[in-house]
Amino acid sequence: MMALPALSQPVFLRFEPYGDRALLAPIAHVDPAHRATLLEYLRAHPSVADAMLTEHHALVVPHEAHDFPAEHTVPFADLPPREARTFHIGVRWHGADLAEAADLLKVPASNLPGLYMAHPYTVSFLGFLPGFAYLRGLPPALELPRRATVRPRVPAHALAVGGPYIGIYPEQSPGGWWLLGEAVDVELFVRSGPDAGPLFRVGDRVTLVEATT
Amino acid sequence: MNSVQFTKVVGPACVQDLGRVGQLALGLPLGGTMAPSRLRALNFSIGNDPHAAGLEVFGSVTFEVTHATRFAVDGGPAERLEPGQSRTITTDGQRLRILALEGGIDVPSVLGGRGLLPHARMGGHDGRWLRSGDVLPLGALPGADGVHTPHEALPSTPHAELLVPLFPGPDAHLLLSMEHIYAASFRLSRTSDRSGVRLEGSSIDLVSREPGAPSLPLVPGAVQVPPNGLPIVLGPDHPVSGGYPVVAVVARSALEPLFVAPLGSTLRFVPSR
Repeated sequence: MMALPALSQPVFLRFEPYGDRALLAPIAHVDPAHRATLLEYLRAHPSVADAMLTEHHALVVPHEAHDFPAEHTVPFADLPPREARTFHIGVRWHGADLAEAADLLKVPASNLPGLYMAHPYTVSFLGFLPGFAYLRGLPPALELPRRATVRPRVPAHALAVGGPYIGIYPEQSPGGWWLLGEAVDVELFVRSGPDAGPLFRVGDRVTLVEATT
Repeated sequence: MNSVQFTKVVGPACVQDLGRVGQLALGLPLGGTMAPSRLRALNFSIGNDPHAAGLEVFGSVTFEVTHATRFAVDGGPAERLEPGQSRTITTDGQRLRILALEGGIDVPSVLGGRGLLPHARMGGHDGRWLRSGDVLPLGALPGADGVHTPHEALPSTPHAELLVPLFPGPDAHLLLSMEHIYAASFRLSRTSDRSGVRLEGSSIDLVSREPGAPSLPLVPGAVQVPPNGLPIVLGPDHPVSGGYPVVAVVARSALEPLFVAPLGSTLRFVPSR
């Protein structure tokens, strides 16, 4: 566990109506390291029924008949620092696009796994499919443009790169990212029971390691 | 324990309630029935809690019960079904029918809701659409008697153009003008599903399109314009974020009329007051 640096500066957010049920605020000016704290703050606000973040926007759905102030100063100094969880995910590097990606990046295919395992990643936001996390932290030299065609079936647990993001498909789905490997022994979305929900949350750290099984 | 057996299921049918509030940050949309005011009214008429889960039927279901059970379907009064009897509910020009059963369908609540979220294979009966022969538990009989009033029928054959009020969306600046979207006439595509109503008949031109635009949080009623220009109005099972421009958002009060309108109906957008 690693505590984020203490926050001192309050951050100003200006919400605009997003239809007649929700509000949207630009948040590109918020330090990405503090986004998880912002999300917890919004979710805990007494007027908020639901809230979520992408990299550039915060969405708030107020409770019925509650007013959520359009102009909002987030008092970061008063908020408890949020502990970031770290996950070590084992990967088998046999993705269908590994060789082609190595050609494009001009590195030997055998070196590619080591390069991708050398960087820690951070969950930037959730979306696409339940359990799918957009991970940031790729150095520009390891980014890959989105593929020209979308595969109708990407296998479950495929580790893939698309643009500046790396991510793991929670289940089989269509996809246009580069398939580099397969995450093993990990359930990215639990469908029932007390632990139901996604494994990764905004702000979590993810490290890729060579699979041992 | 009382239960309901769906002896014959034709076409999609799924358990739905009023949705999962507060799970967007976990990547889960509100979900829930496409006709919340109908489900509430049906539940009320048989004494159920408004949040009791019912069934959305997009084809036809035939069902039986183990104990005498009151039930209500859109378009009719509350009725009583005895063991040994069966009833069939069929869409007849409607997009869907809603069935409420006394005690509510008592499948486990997952993350605050009992409804099926199909793409997550979560909620509902074993995370899937119903199949012939499925037996679902019903909750304890409610204490209240309910009020036996007939219910408003869901629309079947469309007789008039749907007028759907819009608010400008976060990407409204990508339209030539909002008038451009009000001037167009659309049809509800048969490819529509619980994740969105797909429109056809007119395509929307954007002033520009930013490839790799940052993902935007999404809400039910958001009007997305994908690259082919045919707008999608997001439904209860929408993805929580997406990169297509959101040029407008349908007024909340207009969502249920849109979601229950028969596919093939014609639609025109109008400014929201």
